[in-house]
Amino acid sequence: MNSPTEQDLLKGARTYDLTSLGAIYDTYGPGIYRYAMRLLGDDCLAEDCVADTFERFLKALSFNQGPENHLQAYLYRIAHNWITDNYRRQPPLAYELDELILPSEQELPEEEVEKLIAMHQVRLALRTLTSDQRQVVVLRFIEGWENEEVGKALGKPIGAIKALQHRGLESLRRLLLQDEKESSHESQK
Amino acid sequence: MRKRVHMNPKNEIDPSLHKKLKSLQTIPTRAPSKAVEGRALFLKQAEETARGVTGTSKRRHIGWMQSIQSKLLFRRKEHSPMFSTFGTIMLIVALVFGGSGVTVAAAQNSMPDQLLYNLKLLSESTLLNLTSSPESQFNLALGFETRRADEILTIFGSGGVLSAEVVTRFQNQIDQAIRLALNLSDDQVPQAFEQLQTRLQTQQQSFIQVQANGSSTAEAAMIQTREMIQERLQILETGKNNYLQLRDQLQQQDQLNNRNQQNLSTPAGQGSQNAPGRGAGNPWTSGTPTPGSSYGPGSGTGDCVTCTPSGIGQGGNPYTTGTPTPGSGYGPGDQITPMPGGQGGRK
Repeated sequence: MNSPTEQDLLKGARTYDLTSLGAIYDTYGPGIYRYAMRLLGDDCLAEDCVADTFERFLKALSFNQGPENHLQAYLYRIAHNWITDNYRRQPPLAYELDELILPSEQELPEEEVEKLIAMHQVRLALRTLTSDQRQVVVLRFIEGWENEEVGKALGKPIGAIKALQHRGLESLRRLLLQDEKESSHESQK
Repeated sequence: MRKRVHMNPKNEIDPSLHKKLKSLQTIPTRAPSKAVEGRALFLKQAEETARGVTGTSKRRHIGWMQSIQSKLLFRRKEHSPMFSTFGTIMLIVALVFGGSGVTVAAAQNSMPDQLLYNLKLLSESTLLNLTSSPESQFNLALGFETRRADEILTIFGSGGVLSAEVVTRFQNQIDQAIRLALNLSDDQVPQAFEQLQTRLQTQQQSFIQVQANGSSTAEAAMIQTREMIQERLQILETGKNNYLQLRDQLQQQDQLNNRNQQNLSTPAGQGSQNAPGRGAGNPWTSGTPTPGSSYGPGSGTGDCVTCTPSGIGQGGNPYTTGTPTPGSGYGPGDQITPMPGGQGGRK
């Protein structure tokens, strides 16, 4: 039932039906925001990413272009390209703990900081991957997409997605787990 | 909205790594006000876009492109990025060719000893090759001849020494102008000769007035240049009344040159049978020819290669009164008895 609904939304979007466009924003906007936020770690940048993604979608419609189907994959691809461009434009952002650490009743401030550092490390490691590898890893293991859906987003066959995933994970494993292994070896000695 | 079949990704990833990646799943919630603002902005943009490109005007603007695309081209997913690439390519092309244009323009004022001079000659040659009408070609050649003369005057005027190369280039330019004048229609040739003659006379006067830097090399170069111009003036004077003969001579010379080139490319042992004294005669020079240099007495068939031709061979040079040298074809003509080898002699 998913596909026809998406088709209906797309059909409405092509005629600039505001209800359809609003529904598209409501359906995919939050997910794209989360995706951007996870990779960028900055809410302002994530908002910019969402705004630009939907603006580009409108522009494509005005040229009678845009997707025939797989709208979600299309929007995520735009967002991913935006994020990749952003990576190229500017270095990783520095921590601003006072803004990021929100008062929590469940966790201690030091636990919060530790979590933030871990997230930052993962983001830095993801930046070292190629654009395609990064997209595959994030969509598969953070967003929880299936290979087929990831393939649609990247416009690649499943075999290629698996290869990208393998190489991406291998790089991440080296970057993120190597230190832990070394430190555990040292503690054993 | 989207039907998602969750497969356990843990089977494909190291659990420790998966745990680290999962840390990114926890993110601060999006501020609801920003979400509402974003949505409103998006819908406003959509409204503006819809107003700017109505269905009718959209079809009017891009309908023809789509119809062509649907028939001939593949469908592009994105439009703007392609335009961006195309724009970049066009910009590069414009800069490259624009830059070349500026360089060529700058080269037009260069002198023979300067770096851009060869570019100047190349641009002249290209311009001449691109011109198809004989009148335009002649006018261009006339202009280029004047340029060469001005260059020589500038060199003389600045106290420089004229190299043989510069003189030869000037000479070739005059010869080219004469040849192109002969390509004109019969009624235009005398007029063109007159034009070139007037120009050469003016240049000759300028060369006489200008003072060389006093060195013997400079003096020799100046004398050589004046003599060369004088020869051309004589050719033009005679050619005005008898340009058909001059045209024939040039054609014969061209044929002979072509034949010589072919012979040069003949394998060893099958060398040229042409001996000195068989040439069509070079109408451009009064200098001493070297054997085999096509300065022969015209189309004579005699085998005597050492005897002095005295018959008025067809290919003989009618433009000089100087003493002929063996095989030069510069005989004074009008001999009653043709000598061996002078097939063209009057009977």
